[in-house]
Amino acid sequence: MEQKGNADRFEQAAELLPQRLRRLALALPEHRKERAEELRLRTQRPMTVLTDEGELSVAAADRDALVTAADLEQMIASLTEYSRYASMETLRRGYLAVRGGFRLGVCGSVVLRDGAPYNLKDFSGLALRIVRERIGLAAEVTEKLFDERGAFLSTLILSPPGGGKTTLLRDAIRCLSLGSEAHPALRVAVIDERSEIAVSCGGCAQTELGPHTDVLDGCPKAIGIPMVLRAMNPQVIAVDEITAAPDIAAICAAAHCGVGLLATIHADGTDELRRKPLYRALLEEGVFRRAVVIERKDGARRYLTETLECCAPPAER
Amino acid sequence: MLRAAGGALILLGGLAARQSALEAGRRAQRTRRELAEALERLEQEVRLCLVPIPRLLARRGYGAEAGRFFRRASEGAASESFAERWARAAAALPLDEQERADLADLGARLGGEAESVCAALRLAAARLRERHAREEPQRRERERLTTAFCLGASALLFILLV
Repeated sequence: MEQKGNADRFEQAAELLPQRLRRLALALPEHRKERAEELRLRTQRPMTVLTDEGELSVAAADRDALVTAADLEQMIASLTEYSRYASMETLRRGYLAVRGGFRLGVCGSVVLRDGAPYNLKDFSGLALRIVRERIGLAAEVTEKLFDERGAFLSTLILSPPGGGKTTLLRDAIRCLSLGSEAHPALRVAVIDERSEIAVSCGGCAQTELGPHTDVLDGCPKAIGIPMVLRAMNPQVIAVDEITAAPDIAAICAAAHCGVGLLATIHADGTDELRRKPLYRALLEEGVFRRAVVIERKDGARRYLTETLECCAPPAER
Repeated sequence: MLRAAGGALILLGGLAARQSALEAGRRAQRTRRELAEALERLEQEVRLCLVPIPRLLARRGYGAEAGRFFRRASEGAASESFAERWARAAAALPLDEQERADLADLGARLGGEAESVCAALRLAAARLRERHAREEPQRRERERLTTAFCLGASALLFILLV
């Protein structure tokens, strides 16, 4: 059943391609559509589909699937609704959130202004990511994120890139927002800086995040966390991929206001987390009390829940 | 009786000729006014909310002429680009050739960065407003002359006939 859903999602993603390439993508065998994670287009290269077997060409003869610069321009124009200014903020950061819950990674020549990326031109590659929801994936894990009094414990989701952190985070948000027999529903505010969690389009979250979830889309975490704290009275704030010191400062400030936090970090496990200087502050402050580590073994994912002890430096203990 | 009916028909014909001669000018002025207002609205929405142009065109309340133009600009084959659709719709506007060409060019400038899109929309709206203001006294003068000519000619025919 889930496999059939995957093939449907692939076909929806293929609808976003230029006509010639769409035909090739739709002609792929079903088993390949079901396992497709991304469609990749590079100029003067054949279009490929990324699966767990690697990148495979979508056509038997490479020249049939050859991607031109005009194909990329046409695709970007169509996905930005011929109004590039409306997507400029995300485009300059290298992606577009696309109607239907897809995400388009964009590569090309970066136009710099005052040393910061201002725009992208001469597109050279696109990666159409087929965002998939796994409804119910986090149900079991989420139950372990509460203390004996039923209070939510701030949690970090850890795995290397491509490990499934965002998929787990998305469903954990849904579970917290929905509540369960053991725990009441919580108001969750999502700071979706890169539009990867809700994949919002025109003000609508395109993924299922539960009935009590508010999404602040396209906003940097360090700015968005105080905004939702002031405006939305959240019980839990969820963010994806903490990578910068200002994000950590905002998270610490929110934790001191009594709000629960749910976040993801690129790390193999808690040991690697402790070794990274950037994240030490989080651990020293005792902001997060639980860690969910995603392990991949024999193609299957396991979710290990660990308790994070406060590791304040000796002088402060 | 027959003469009176013929005379009445001549007068009615004169009025109809006047109406049709004036309607083209009035429609052009109406189109300029509505389009200028609509383009200013687009500019405001782009500047404040960065809403994509096709979504703005799909909204209502632009006035009959501007609404018709926006509907035409939104419809078309999938293979046709937005600029091509916009240019095709501009070609059908009841304006003079130079104005149609200016508006057709605008379509190609609506996809860039927000400041340049807003500037292009403001410029197009200002041109339409300027032309509208310039045409208005001339249109009134033309209306007076046309009315005088049509009514005078039909009155003369009426007198000759009756």
